[in-house]
Amino acid sequence: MSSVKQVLAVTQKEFISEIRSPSGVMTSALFGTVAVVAISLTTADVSIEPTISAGLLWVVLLFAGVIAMPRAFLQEEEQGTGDLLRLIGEPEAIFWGKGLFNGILMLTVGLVIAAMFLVLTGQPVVHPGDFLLGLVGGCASIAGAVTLCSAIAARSANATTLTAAIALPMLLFLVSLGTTGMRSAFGADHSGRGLMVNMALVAYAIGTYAIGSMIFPRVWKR
Amino acid sequence: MAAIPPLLVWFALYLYLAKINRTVQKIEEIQSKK
Amino acid sequence: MNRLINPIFALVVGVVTVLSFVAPDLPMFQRPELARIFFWHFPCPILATCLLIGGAYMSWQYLRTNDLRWDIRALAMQELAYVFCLLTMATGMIFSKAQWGAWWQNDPRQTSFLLVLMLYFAYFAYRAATQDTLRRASNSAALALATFIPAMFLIYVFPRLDPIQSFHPSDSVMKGKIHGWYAYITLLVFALVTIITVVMYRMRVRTAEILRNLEEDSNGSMESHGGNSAPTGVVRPISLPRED
Repeated sequence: MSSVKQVLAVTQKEFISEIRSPSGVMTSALFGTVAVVAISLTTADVSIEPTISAGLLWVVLLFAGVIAMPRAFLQEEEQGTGDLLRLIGEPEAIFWGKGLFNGILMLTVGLVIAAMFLVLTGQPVVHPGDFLLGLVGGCASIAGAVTLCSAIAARSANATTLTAAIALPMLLFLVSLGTTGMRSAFGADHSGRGLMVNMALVAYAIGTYAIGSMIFPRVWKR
Repeated sequence: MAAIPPLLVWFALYLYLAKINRTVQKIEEIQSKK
Repeated sequence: MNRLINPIFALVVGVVTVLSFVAPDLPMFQRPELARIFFWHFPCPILATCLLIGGAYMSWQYLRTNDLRWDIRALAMQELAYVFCLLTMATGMIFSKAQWGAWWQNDPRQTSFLLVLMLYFAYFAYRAATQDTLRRASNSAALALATFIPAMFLIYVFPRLDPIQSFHPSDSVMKGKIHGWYAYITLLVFALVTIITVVMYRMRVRTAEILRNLEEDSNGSMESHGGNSAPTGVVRPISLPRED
């Protein structure tokens, strides 16, 4: 099987098992919804500035991602299929397959959360292109980093929390970039840095996947 | 205030030394059992 | 000779510490008499960076060779690096209070370094949560490598990005703003702390190796040495000899 086919096969497998028991999507959708509703409730009688709402949106995205993503590797260990996968799959194909799945999942969750956020807080988007670029780049970065971290932590004690604990510091910096980008998309920053920052987010995403695919084969079979 | 940083540096290194010392004690414990 | 080393060393530590107070005030600072915090602040991030580079290198060596000795070295490097990261933060905050007027300025340097502290804290959190020696070694090595690039970015690139204004000067040493007495004492402190760090690193590695060997012996060498043996966790089909 060629490597692209293998990657797609792993992604397909992930989709099938997610459709059979959609706990990843469900939990992160529920979490995202509750978080967004909580924000809109707590700020019901005040209008939040674009600067603050950019930060709030990113915090919700970050935690929704950290909750949803680790499942990709943890469920293999929970169901006892990890050893089988180690036996038959090429490590690179598994990383890229799971990373691709996580990327798509995170993008879906991110788009839903962002849409709900915009509707519930009434925040106008001044530059939709910047907004989308930042969202896509940010979600892909979160997916890449959490995929790698969950592979590292999958067989440790308390794996879900541990994954979050080691992935969050890597992503904090991303949140500060993302907030800057989103601020300018919301029209609060006129320095024209929005595009640059969002490009940096995309670069960060590429970087996390590149580093991940280099490191992953060395930890996967241990 | 200028006195705090050198104290901090030496104290931190001292603490690390104490940590190494704990390992040494552990080694001695195991060796004495043999 | 060996018996003399310790007292001589203690003497040198004392003399250098006193020297750093004898140095004249540096008028280019807000509070010239507190400029001598610089002696103790400056070596910390430099040493921390060197140790982090070393830690990343040794982690890579572990992943390449699967030799647990590299894991011990990587751990010692990371631990010492973390000590110096914490010292950088602490002395930096005191410096910030003395010269800028507040413990926490939200200066880009301070913020990015706080992120570095959290990044490396994850390394130790991971090690604490994993029991399997071989898995802990390989996965924490991977984690060290994965955090290395963001950390270097946060320390060296992020504070220098154009739109970000920092109070923190980045040219005080390179452009000769620190010279004469100050340069000499800075170098002296730096050299002394470096020597002590190297000694401690070697001690840490040696004691950890001895302890591991002892524990391995008492386990009856149940754990394999790594080496060329098959990685654990891999299920391989095996054939069993027939009974009949």
